[in-house]
Amino acid sequence: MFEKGQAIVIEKPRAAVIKEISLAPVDDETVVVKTTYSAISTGTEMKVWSGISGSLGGELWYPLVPGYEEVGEVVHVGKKVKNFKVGDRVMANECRYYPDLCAAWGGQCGTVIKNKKTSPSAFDGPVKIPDGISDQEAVLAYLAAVAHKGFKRVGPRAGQTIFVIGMGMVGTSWIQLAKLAGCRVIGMDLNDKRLKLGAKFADEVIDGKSNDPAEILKKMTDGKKADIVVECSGDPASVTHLYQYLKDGGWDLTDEPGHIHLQADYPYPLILTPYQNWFTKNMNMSLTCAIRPDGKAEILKLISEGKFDVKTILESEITPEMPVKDAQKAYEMIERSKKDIFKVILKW
Amino acid sequence: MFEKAKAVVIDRPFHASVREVRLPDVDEHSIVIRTLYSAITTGTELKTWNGRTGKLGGKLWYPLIPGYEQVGYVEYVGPKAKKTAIGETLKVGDRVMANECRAYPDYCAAWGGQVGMTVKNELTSPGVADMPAKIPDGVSFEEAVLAYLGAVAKKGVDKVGIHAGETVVVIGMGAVGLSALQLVKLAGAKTIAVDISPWRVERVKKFADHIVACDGAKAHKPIAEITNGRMADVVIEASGDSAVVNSLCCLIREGGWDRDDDGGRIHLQGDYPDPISITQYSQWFNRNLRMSTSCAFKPGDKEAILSLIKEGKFDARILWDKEIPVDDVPGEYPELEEHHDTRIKTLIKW
Repeated sequence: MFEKGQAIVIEKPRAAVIKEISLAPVDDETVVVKTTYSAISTGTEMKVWSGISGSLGGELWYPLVPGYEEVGEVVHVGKKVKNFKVGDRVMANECRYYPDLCAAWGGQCGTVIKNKKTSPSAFDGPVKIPDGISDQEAVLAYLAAVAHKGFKRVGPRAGQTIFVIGMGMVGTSWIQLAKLAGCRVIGMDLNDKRLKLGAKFADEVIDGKSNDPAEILKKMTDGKKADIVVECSGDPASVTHLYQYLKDGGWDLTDEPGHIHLQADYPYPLILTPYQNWFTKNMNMSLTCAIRPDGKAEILKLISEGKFDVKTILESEITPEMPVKDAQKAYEMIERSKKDIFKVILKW
Repeated sequence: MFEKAKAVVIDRPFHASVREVRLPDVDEHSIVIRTLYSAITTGTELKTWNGRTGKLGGKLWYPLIPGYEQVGYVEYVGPKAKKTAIGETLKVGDRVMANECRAYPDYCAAWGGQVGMTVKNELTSPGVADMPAKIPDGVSFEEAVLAYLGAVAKKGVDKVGIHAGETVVVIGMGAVGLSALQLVKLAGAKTIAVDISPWRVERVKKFADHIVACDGAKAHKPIAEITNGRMADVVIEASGDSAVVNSLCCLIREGGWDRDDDGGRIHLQGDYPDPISITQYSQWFNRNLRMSTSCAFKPGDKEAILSLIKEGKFDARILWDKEIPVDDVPGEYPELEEHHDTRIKTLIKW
C-alpha cells in the first residue's frame, strides 16, 4: 500500500529529478505521512545538491533523497501507534532509510514512512502541528528547533549581548530566541537582502561587508563586544575571525569569559590561528548538531503563542513558493542567487 | 639599589646569553625579589628560544628576557605595595613565587622571569594573578618553582569541571599535562595519560589508570580498547601540537542528543604555534561537544597548588629531571630541544 512514493532524488551533484522510489517497509509501529509542504534549506541541503557536503563518515553517497523540512497529513498508523491518528497534521522531517537510495536526510518525499528503522533517534519522531499554525509555517519550525538546541546549550541570560552571524533560518531563529530571553541581539550578514530580513528581528545589524565589523561591534557595545558569538553562516572563513567579536574575560574570579557557539555546518576546515588571539579569550566554545527531543514541540508552542514569528519570513520576497516538480529549477535558482534567496518552500 | 641584575637574554632565535640588564624602576608600589631558583619550560620558553612562538599581537620581539617560573626571597617591599592575590601582606625575607616581570627598559619581556632580581609593580605585573605568592613552610623553593605550571593546569581543569568517575584523557606529559593529570586524578576521574614518548608516560604511571605511549593524533584505537569503545568524557590537550588537536574529536564519546546529556568536552591547554584546523566538521558537531581554552591562571591558583604540595597531594618533584647553574642556561636550550622525548624540565639554580 505504501511501497512506492514520489521523491526528489539527487542522482549526482547538481542533478535532481522527481521520480518514484521504493519506500521503507511499513510495520505495526509506523506512521505514514503524506507530504503537503517541504522546503529547501540553503545551507545543508544545497551542499548535498552541489556535492560539497562532508562525507559524513561514509554515510553520504549518490543517488540520495535530500531534505528534512517536511510536513504533511497522517494517512496511516500501525496497530501499535498510540499518539497519532489518521488526519493529524504533523512535522514529519527526516526519513533515514530507503531500500535503494541514500537518505540524506530523506525528507523530500511525497510519502514519508516514520518508524524505528527510518527515525531511530529520540528527536526524530513526528510532532503534531497545533491548530492555528499553517503547514507552511510548520515547515520552518525544523531549523528553528536546530537553533533552539544550540540556544539551550549556550543558555544566554537577560542583558547579555549576543552577536549572531548569518541571517538564514537558523540565525534569525537564534535572534528571536535570544530576544525572548531578554538579550540584546546584534546580527550580521554579507548579503543585503538577508541583512534586511535580520533587521526585522535583531536590535541592530552590522553589514558584514563593512571595513571593520569588529570595530563597529566594539563601538555599539561601548568597547566590550559580545558575551556570546553565534556563528550561523556556515562560512569557514567567518569562523577564523570569531575571536575578534568576543569580549575579554576569564582572568579573574568574577569576569565570566565569552562563549562562541558554532551553529552551522562547515564544508571546509575551520582554521583557528594565531592561537594567542583565541586562548587569551579564555573562551568556551560549543557545537551542536540537529535538535533536542523536545525542540520541535517547543518551537511550535512558541509560534502558536505568538512569541516566535515565522510569518515575516514566509511573507518575505526572498522565501518564494514553488511546485515540487520544479525542484531542480529551485536548486539552480538558489545557487545562482548567491544567498539572495532565503529558502524555497515546495508545494507537494 | 636595584638598578641592574643578571638575566638570561635571548638576542635572536637560537642565541641566548647570561648578562647584566637594567631593571625597571623601583617605586613605592614595588616589591623586589631575589631569585634562588627558576626553570626552563620546554613548551612556551623553548619556543621563544627557537623562534617558533607567535607574534603575540606585536608584543614579541628580540632581544627578549624569557621565563616566568622563578622563586626567591623578598628583598624590598615599597610602602604602597599591593597585597598578594589572596590578600596577604608581604615583608622582607618572605619566600615567594615571583614569576612574570612584563617590562624592562631595554628588552622585550616574554615574560621576563629569567632574572636574578625581579621587580614587581603596576608596570611589570599589572594583574591580580601576577602578584607574588607566598610559599608555605614545608614547601621547598625547588617545589615552588613548579607550582606555576601547576596553576596553569588548575585554571584549565577548573574550567572543564571534572566530575568523579568521568573518563579523562590527558595528552602530553610535560609539566602542564602532568600537573593536569594529577589534578584530574584528585577530582576522582578515571585517567588515561597519553604521550608520544614512552619515557614520559612510563614515569607518570602512578597518576594514571592507563598509560598510552603514542602520538595523540593516533590515540583513537588504544583509547577505544581501554574504554570498550565508549571513548572519553573529557580530553585535556597539553602537547601543544596542532596536529593532535585536529584529530581530538575522535577521542570524545558520543553524546549531546538527549536533554540531560551535554556531550563530551575538549580543553586546549597547550600553546599552538601552528594553525588549528577543524575538519571534517560533521565528525565534530555530531558529538555536540564543547571546547574551551584558557590562558595563564586565576588569582589564588598559585597558592592553591602550593597548598596541595604542602599537603602531599601534588607531586612537584616529578615535574623536573635536571638542575643546572644559571650560567649554563644558554647551552641547556639546545640540549632540551634535542632530547625532547627524554626530558621534561630543567631547574636553574641562581
